[in-house]
Amino acid sequence: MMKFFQTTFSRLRALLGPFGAVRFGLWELVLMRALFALVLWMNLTPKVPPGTLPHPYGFAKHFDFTFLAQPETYALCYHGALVLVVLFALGARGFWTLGPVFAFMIARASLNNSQGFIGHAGLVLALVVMAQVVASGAEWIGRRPRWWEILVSTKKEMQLAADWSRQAMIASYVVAGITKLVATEGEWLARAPYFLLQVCKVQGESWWGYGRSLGAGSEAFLRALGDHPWLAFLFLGAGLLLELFAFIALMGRRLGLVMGLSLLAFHLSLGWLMDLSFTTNQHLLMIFFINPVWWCAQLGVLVVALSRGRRSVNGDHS
Amino acid sequence: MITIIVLCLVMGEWYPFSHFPMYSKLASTTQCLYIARLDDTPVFIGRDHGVQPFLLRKIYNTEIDVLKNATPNGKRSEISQEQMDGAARKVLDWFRDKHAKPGSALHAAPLKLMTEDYTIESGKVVRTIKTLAGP
Repeated sequence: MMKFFQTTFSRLRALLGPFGAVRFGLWELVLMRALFALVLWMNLTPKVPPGTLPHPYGFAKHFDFTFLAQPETYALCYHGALVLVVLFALGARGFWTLGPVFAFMIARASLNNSQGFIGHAGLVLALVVMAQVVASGAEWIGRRPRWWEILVSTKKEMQLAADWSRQAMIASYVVAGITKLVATEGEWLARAPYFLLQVCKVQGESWWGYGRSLGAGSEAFLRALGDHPWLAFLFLGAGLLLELFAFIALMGRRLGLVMGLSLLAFHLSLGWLMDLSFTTNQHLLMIFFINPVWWCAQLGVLVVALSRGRRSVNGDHS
Repeated sequence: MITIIVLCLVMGEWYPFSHFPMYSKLASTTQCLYIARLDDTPVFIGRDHGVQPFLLRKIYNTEIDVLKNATPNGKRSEISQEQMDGAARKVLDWFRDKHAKPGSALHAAPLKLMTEDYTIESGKVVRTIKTLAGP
């Protein structure tokens, strides 16, 4: 019996691959950086934020960011941020490039969120930008960088930035899970039947706001939730577990892939059923966890090795 | 990771930190706010004015929270109906100021802030439509 468990465990261990922080190759880090810069570029918007603070939020409680609502000032900052994102993608040090972009994001979000409503869609991106800036600065600690390392990124810096970005992103999922338990004193799952009302609300907002229903999938989901309340426990239970145990994604490439795909499926299902797709999260999961290019490269290496092996086997026989 | 988790939980809603409260309470009632004309036909604020419909609800809830925090015991039940009407009026005024400016098709139209409330009774969803603020 003991041997059975030992064998099963060692097989599972082999299947999961090495545990611990992932060591990325230089080409992967460069690609990740370029893709991350692209996501950041797509999320920077030329739309000027409101110039009033009816409900001051976050840093806007202490700093007056309304200067940013001047169209000329905003255009200058926005285009400056785009230039810095391009420089970052080209290899300039994240501390100098993403630092000002992060400050711009804070100022913009503080204005937007001071209008009486708080948006959560871009928060994970902001956390990842913060992680990249801090990692870029932290990499200097305890050593004297060579002059060019002050301006240009090194592999070590990119590796640290990728590690901390992954951790920042996963932290947001774990916090979301903890908040659900704290806000309901541990009874979140017991309240699962009320999830039906949330689906109704989202459908109502789609109908009254856009004059359209959310689609057949959402309608069928709503009917199924009404007919089979246990479905809500299943759906929400899986989601809660995924959030609380999202940190497993940090334990290696294979677990990162499994958890990344699971979280992606979670976002896609919410997008399909409730029009809540969180596309930035999906993009970041693709870049930092699913990393399809690396897996394709591995597959390519495997195919080449197999075909060489076959050729050599055929050669032996000929 | 632990540092960010702690910062998010301690700082709460403070960009870039948040405790990510989406769907964290699963209340036994909820509502959808929308704008309608006098004849009850809806104004499709998302389709025609680029306003995400949930913003009305979020602004209304923020106004209610401000009123709630000003009551002696910080309870929603202590807010008077007059104050609730005032909060709804502020939401309607916000929409008018932003999207029913002079010269726009909506400017002359009398608008109402409506709510569709959802509750569960005997396992079934019950929907109730009410006017929160009139023209």
